[in-house]
Amino acid sequence: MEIYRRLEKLYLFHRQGEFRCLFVPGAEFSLIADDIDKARLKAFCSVAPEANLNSDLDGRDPSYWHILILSPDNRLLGGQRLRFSLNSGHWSSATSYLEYSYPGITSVLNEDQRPFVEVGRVFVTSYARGDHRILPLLLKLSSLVAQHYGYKSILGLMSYTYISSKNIPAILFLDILQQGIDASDLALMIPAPRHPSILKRLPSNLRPSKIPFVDLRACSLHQVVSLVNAEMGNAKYLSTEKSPFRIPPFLSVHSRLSHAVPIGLSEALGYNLIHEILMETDLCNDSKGATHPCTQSPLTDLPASLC
Amino acid sequence: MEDRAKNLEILTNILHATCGVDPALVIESSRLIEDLNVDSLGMLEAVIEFEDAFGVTVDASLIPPKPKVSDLLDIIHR
Repeated sequence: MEIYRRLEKLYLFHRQGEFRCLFVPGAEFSLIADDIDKARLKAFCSVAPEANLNSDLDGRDPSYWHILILSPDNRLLGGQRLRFSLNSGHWSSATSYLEYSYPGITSVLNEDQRPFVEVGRVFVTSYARGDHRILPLLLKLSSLVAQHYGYKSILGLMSYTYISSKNIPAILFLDILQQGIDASDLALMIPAPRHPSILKRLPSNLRPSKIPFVDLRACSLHQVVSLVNAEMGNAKYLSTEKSPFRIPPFLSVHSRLSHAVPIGLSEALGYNLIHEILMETDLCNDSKGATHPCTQSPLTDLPASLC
Repeated sequence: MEDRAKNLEILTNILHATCGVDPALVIESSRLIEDLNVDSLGMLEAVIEFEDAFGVTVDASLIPPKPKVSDLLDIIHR
């Protein structure tokens, strides 16, 4: 806790109620690496227990800025890491997880006048697990920080556990996403993922004759879920599915509170049961992300430069 | 007042659907965490449904730490 007291003196940028929020440069990451590793591990294993990780440090953290939320008694409650496509020098797969998954994405989107903030490794510590305010606060802070530095887009990869070939609604969900992404004009701009999706297909006797097309840029994950449930209402599925399809609560809450939409889909390296959905939050002036009340209170105590 | 009763009914249905809360337990003075056993993600899922049902947008980070059902209803009636 002493270390957070010290970091707070240097990097406090926002207070909300009893919470203190820090914006810590990557150069300081080694001081908090152990704490963050433990917190991330618990958070990740709760959504993907089959991953069986021993550590959730990928060596890239010194290249990111870190938002941390502290309690009044200097306990770590939650955090996430951010990088800024225009401000952070040369990016490679060794320094950015997004760049590793989508090689070349930074330069492609920068050249297309779509600079972005990459957000990742969002976690709430077990100490704060029962507090519903931490996750929305983290999402709000990443939007506010992005807006503060003039960015209009946030990209992040969200894990989705693909359970088994018998999980028909989950396969349908991923298939609809993939089809929408393949058809999107944005797909032409985003480089292919390093590990392209190899979604297993539904058994032919259960496969819809035509997977419904969804314009994902105008659609939320929740609307895709509704579509899956409508499809599952078809008579041929009724005998196998008794309750409505739902995506994991963390994914659901994250996508909705961020007003993020899916723009990419791939499999995570090494964990072939886990898919990663690339989500984008649009912070342009009249978008949902920019007009949500969570993003209406400008920050004043951030560093002038991100270098 | 009639609106508030109707909104309580809608909120009760949301809490039942998202968090499995027994509708018979939901009254204005119910505490979501202590009385209804709603966890943090369940609370946020309920807020999402709540936004859709009532056409409001809520800064979930500003909902009181231990909210009552009446706190959520107050958001609509502000």
